[in-house]
Amino acid sequence: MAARWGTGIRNGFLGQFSHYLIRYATWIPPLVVFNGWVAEITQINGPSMYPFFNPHHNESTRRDIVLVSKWYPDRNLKRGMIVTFRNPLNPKGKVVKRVVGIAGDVIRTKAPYPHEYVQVPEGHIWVEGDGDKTKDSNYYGPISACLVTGRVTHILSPWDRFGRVKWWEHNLRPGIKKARHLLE
Amino acid sequence: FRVLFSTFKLLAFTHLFLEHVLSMAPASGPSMLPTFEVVGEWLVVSRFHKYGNGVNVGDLVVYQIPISTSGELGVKRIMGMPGDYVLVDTPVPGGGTVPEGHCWVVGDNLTASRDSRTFGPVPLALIRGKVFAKIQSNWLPKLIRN
Repeated sequence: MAARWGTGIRNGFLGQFSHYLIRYATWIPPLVVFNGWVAEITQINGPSMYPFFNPHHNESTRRDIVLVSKWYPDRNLKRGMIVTFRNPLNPKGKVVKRVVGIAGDVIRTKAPYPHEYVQVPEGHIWVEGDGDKTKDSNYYGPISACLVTGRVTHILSPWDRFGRVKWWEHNLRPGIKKARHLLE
Repeated sequence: FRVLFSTFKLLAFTHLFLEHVLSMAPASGPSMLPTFEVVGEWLVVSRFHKYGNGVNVGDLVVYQIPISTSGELGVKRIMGMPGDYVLVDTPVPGGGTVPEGHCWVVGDNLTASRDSRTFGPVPLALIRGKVFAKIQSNWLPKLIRN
């Protein structure tokens, strides 16, 4: 019995299992790098982007699943893009909102922001949720563009809204005065 | 083919190490004299302290400058955490409070430093790590204490 265990380890179950386990486990770092720097599939939680994401948040617990591009997300941000960024009030939290204003724009703010008009400082963006119940720049002010970690490019689920996020077709709300020195 | 995969995996592992464990970067500029020389020193940065994890007043941190358009990095000392009062050179005369989720950074060389007195509080989420050692021009490492 002992002899069989000794010679059989390499080709036995345990030997083969460890071999394949290590082989597949070494693929974890590239996967993590891919998720962090190329693209990631993630869920949208919360009603702040109603009705664009989670339009049935009152009726079911199903959440939208989206594809987020992580490839240089903070370069060349345009109005209308949907971005993910780290919460300026809580560095561990991630937030999904739409870019409504970029550096230099003058925004007419909504409650509860204390000033009626604000100019977005250099290197910052103004983000807002599409829905009513949202904590966005009207709550914490313009955010540094460096906080942006990704852009939502595609909706993957549910099937009836599958496809590219056509952010360029979004009509901006009134009250955004675009910076004049930028080329449109 | 196998070699390609292995190289790829090694690169990914190294990248993750530099992002989440430790990284090194050259430092330049007069804003942190006498703690750091103007040029020629390398900083050893602990990535465990990313996003302001476990960071305190008095720590030296590497962060992304909030008003930069190219993700420029800065190294300064934290002088205020959320809730602390800042009394010198604030936009509000008489001093203000550091907002939630942010920190107030100031360089050691006050006369030659662009820091929170210029661009306001830095969100903790922009902190890349804490400097815990430096490699001096004579290649000797030196631990940085609070």
